[in-house]
Amino acid sequence: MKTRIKTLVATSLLALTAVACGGSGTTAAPTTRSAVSPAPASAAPSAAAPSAPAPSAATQATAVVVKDFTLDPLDVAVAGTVSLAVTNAGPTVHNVAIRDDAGKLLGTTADLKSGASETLTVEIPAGSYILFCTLPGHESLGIKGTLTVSE
Amino acid sequence: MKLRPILLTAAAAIVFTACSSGAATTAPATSAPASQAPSDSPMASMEPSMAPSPATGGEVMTDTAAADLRVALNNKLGAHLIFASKATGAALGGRNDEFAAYGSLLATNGTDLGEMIGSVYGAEAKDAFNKIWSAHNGFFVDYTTGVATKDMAMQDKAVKDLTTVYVPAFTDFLAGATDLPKDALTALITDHVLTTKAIVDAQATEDWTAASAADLEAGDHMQMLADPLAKAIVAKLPEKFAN
Repeated sequence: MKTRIKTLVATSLLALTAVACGGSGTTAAPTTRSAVSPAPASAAPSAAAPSAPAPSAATQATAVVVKDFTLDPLDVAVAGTVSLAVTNAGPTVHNVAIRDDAGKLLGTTADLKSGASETLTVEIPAGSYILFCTLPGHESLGIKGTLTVSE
Repeated sequence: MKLRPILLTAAAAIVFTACSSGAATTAPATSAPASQAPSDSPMASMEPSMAPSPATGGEVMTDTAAADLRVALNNKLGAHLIFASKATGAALGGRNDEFAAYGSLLATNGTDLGEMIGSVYGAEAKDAFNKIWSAHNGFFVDYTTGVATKDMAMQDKAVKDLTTVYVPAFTDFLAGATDLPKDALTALITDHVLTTKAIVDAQATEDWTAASAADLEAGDHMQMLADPLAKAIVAKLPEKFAN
C-alpha cells in the first residue's frame, strides 16, 4: 500500500490539472508581443533572461497555452533560438518561465492576465529545461512541462 | 499545533459576535418583521443586512442580495472543503481518476469564488484573489505529496508556505475587502489550514473515524469563515446589496 502511494500519488498530483482545465489542444494563436516590448510597469517581470533577443522574422515562435493549471503542450521542443508565443487561456493570472536543472531562472514572461499573450524569446544552450509558472503553488498544481532545445 | 485552541476560541468569538445562527431560508406566514421579532427568535439577533426583509403585507422577504451572498459564500466555501478532502483522499489512496475529477472541481470552485469577488470588487481584486487561492491549493498539494512520500522537508515547507505566505496574504486581502480585524482574520484563515491539514493527516493513516471527524470540523469551519465575511462585505458595500 505504502509503495503504491508513493508511486501513484506523485503521478496523480502532477496530473492534477492536466484534466482540470480541459480543452486540451487549444492552439489559439496569441497576439504576438515580444518579451522586450514595453509592458505595464506593474506587470513587468523582475527576472530577466540571460539574453533576450528581439524575435527576428526568421524565428518561428512556438505556441504555448497556459491555463488553470496546466500547459499545452506539456512538452515543447525547439531548435535554435527559443521563442515561445505564450497565451494565458485560464481565468487566473499566470506566467511561463524557463529554468535549468539547477533551478536557475533563464527567462520568464510577465504575469499575464486572462487572455493576454507575450512572446518569450531567449538564447540558451541546447539541452533540457523546465517550463513552469513562477506564481506560488502553480507548479505544484500542474503548470510544469519540459523544454528541449536542440542546435 | 499549539495555536489551535487559541485559534478556535478566537474564531468562535468572531462568529458568535458577528453572526446569528441559521440561514434565513424559511418564512413563516405569521412571522413579524425582523425588527419586531420576539427575543427568542433567531431573527432577533440577526443583523439587519442579513435578516429577512419585511415585505409589504407583513410577509418576510428572504431573497435579498445580502442573503444571496451569504448562501453563495457558504455553498462555495463548503464545496471547496469537500472537493479538497475528496482530492487529497483520492491522491493518498492512489485513485488517479477520482483525484483528477475532484482536482478539476476544486480548480473550478476556486475560480467561481474569484468571479464572486470580481463581481463585487472588480477585476483587479479577482486576479489578486485567484492568485492567493490557487497558491494555497498548490501548497496543500505539496503537503499531501510530502505526507504520501514521507518527505518531512516537503511537509514542513508546505506548512511554512501555508502559514507564512498564504495566511498573511489572504488576511491582508480580506482585511482590505471587509475591514474585519486582521487578528481575527488570521485566526480564521489559520484554522482553515489546520483543520484541512488534519484531514490529510488522518487520511494518510487510514484512520477513517478521525478523517470523518476532521471533515466535519473543517466543513463547519467554512461557515465560520463565510458568515462573517458575507456580513462584513455587505457592511462595507451596502449599496451593492440594496434590494
